[in-house]
Amino acid sequence: MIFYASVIFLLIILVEIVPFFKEKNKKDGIKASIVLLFAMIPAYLFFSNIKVYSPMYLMYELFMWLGWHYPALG
Amino acid sequence: MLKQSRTISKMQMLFSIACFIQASMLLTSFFTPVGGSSSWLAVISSYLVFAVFTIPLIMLIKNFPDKNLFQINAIVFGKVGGKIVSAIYLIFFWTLSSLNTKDIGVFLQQTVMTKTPTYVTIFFLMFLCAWATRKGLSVVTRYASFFFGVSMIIMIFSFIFSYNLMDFSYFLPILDIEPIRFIQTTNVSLNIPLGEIIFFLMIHPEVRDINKNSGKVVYIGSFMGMLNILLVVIHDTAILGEAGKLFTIPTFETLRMISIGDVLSRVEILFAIMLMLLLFFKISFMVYVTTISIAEILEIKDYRRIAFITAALVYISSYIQFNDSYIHAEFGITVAPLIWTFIEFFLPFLTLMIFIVKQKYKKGSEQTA
Amino acid sequence: MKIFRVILIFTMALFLAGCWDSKEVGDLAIVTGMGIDAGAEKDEIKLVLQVGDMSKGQKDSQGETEPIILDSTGVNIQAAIESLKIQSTRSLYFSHNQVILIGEEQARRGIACFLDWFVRNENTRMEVPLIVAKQDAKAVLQTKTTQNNISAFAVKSMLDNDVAPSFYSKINLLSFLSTHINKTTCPIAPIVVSKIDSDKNTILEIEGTAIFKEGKMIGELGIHQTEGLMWILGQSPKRNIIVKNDDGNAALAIVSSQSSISSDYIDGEFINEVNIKATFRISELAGFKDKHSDNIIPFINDLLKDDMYTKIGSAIQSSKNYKSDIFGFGSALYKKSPEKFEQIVENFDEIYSKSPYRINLEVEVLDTGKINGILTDHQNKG
Repeated sequence: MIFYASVIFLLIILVEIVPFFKEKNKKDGIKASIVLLFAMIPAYLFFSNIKVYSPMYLMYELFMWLGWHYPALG
Repeated sequence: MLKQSRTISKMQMLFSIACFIQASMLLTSFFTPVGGSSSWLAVISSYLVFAVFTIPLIMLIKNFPDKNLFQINAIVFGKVGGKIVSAIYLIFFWTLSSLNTKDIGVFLQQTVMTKTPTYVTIFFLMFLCAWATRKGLSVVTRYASFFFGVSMIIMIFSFIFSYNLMDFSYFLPILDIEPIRFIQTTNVSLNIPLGEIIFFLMIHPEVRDINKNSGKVVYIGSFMGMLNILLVVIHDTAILGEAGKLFTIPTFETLRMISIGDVLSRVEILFAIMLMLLLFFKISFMVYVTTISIAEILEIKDYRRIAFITAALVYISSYIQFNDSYIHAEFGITVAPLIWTFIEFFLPFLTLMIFIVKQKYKKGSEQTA
Repeated sequence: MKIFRVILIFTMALFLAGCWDSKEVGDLAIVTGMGIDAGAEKDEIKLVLQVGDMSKGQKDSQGETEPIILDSTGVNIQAAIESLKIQSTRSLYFSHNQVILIGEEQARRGIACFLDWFVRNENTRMEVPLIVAKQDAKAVLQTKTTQNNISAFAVKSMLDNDVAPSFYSKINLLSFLSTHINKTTCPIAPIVVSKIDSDKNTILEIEGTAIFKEGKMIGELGIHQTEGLMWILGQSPKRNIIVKNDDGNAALAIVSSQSSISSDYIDGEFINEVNIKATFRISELAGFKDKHSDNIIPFINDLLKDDMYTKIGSAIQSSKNYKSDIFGFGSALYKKSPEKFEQIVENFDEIYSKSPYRINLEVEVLDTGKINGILTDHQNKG
């Protein structure tokens, strides 16, 4: 899966990131790269079987710990 | 600042709202186990609450016909405050996009393509959504009226042909539910199908003449969508009764039982087709909104250049959001109603209030000057 | 760009047709009937599958497909299926299953835990009927009747046609599950038996109704009581009721039948009420020599009412003896008044078994058929 993910990310870089730098729009290119990193890092961690927690999952755990929630079923 | 040109009509927005809400048909399994036989009442009460809570959203559209939600935040909360509030919205849009993407993947795997890995099905879906995003809002919303028509026809058809399976005594006793559970069901029904129209605050500058009759567009579109959800809830409760809360996709089970003269059966595929159309529409719309949100917050001039990146982000996060489907379901009924209410209704209300106060203060200081 | 698009479209059409895991019909073992019998060990079951074989070599002399019976044991259904997979050369396909047969011994041991597989599996359908097999499920599945080689189809047809009680066609996996999870109502299922008739032909017959409680079969209603049950739960239109006494007998076709049940809890007493309104047409009259055209209909009415009271009363009393509310009296009270229901739900079985019942019948014979009165009347008049 890491191989396929790498291929996809490479294609995205070629199609979307590289044109920014070709047009000498470095600023937008860096911003787009940062967004892509937000996708790449969790992807590689996930496919390497390392647990990754999303912001909403962390919010869920926080709210459950604080007791700020509706009653669960059952 | 993103330049959004007026590319779609009010009718397209109306049908887009209807399709968007209808696509949450799959998510009735979140609140029907909580509400039980009173779920249909909770759906009606949630629409009544929505009618009131959505007034700030409509007023924001009327006061800022040329500005999207993030631009409104910048004007009202200032540059830094606006970015913080916009970041909250962005996380919300991204989360919802990925959760809905996960839902369609799970649905396809459970019902239609049981052996195909979700990695493959979601990949192609995301590719299509990104492609549609690059082409613009008019392409994303082009077939909204067609999808709405098809889904209404299929829903009415299934209602008529499963009438012999219905037992309306399953709705009795009425409101035999603890008040907190009814409030919970109403809250979930308010947030999950209805409150998500906050997404449309990012695209209203692209709607022609939106400052006129924006309220009508929102109310009629949401009513049409909600009607379908109500039909689904009534249909499922009348056929499955108490057993309904056991199933992950109750509507699919009820449609499996339809048999028209022993000749026409296995009509659940129609529901699968309808849901795929609607969810594809919803997800591509959400990916579009997430893309322009990222472009707006990061001040990227051309949002089309980050369409595939956003799609990749949504794709990966659909696997990461909640690993356990049980936790996802529990989140949906316990914590999500509170967080979503804050984002979908309280924040826009706060934005409007601050804007009104600022306007009054500005007028007052102009008068004294 | 155009060429790229064309290539893309062709590639997608070639590779995305979804046939990578396709199976030809000949590679499938299409399961037409599933049976669960008691295994040798107490915690084991014997799974019996009736499979319609699609290969040509299995046709009998009349050119019909011969079904194959496969069986294996396991601690649960999936375990039994796994061992069958090793034996079978084809993939088992459950989507066309017509019936679920439970052997009587296994039904008495308990079936609730096995319902999970049927409800959870993506290929099983909730409208499949659930039936108790009198001897064992394998015997019923192996039966080849003169009208139908595949017994699963034969049993399904019996339940769906006009002769069997119409409510039997509604007793499927979903209704069984709904009543099983209900607090007070007990599930029922038809009992089917394989018999040899006087002409030495094998026939399948519905012999009565099984009563379940907490997932186990605890008793049964005979044919007489099942007829009473029919009146309460749903009578089949066009069915004929036979009434007789020492003077003669009559067959009455049901024109229409409406039944309803109601319950109330007043002054510490749980009262059950059955209301039935039915209209009939005389299909056949024989005997009744001392009766004439002007008094035959009221007489038949009374005979009919007596017959119905006896059968309905017998069915209700049987269910009370078993302490099992198979009619839904408890649910009827819950739907009417949840507060009253809460007062009796703790000791419902005991209260139900001792509660009185009322049967209100409105019976009318509307039509005498092609002839007026009785034939003997016309013979006497010459």
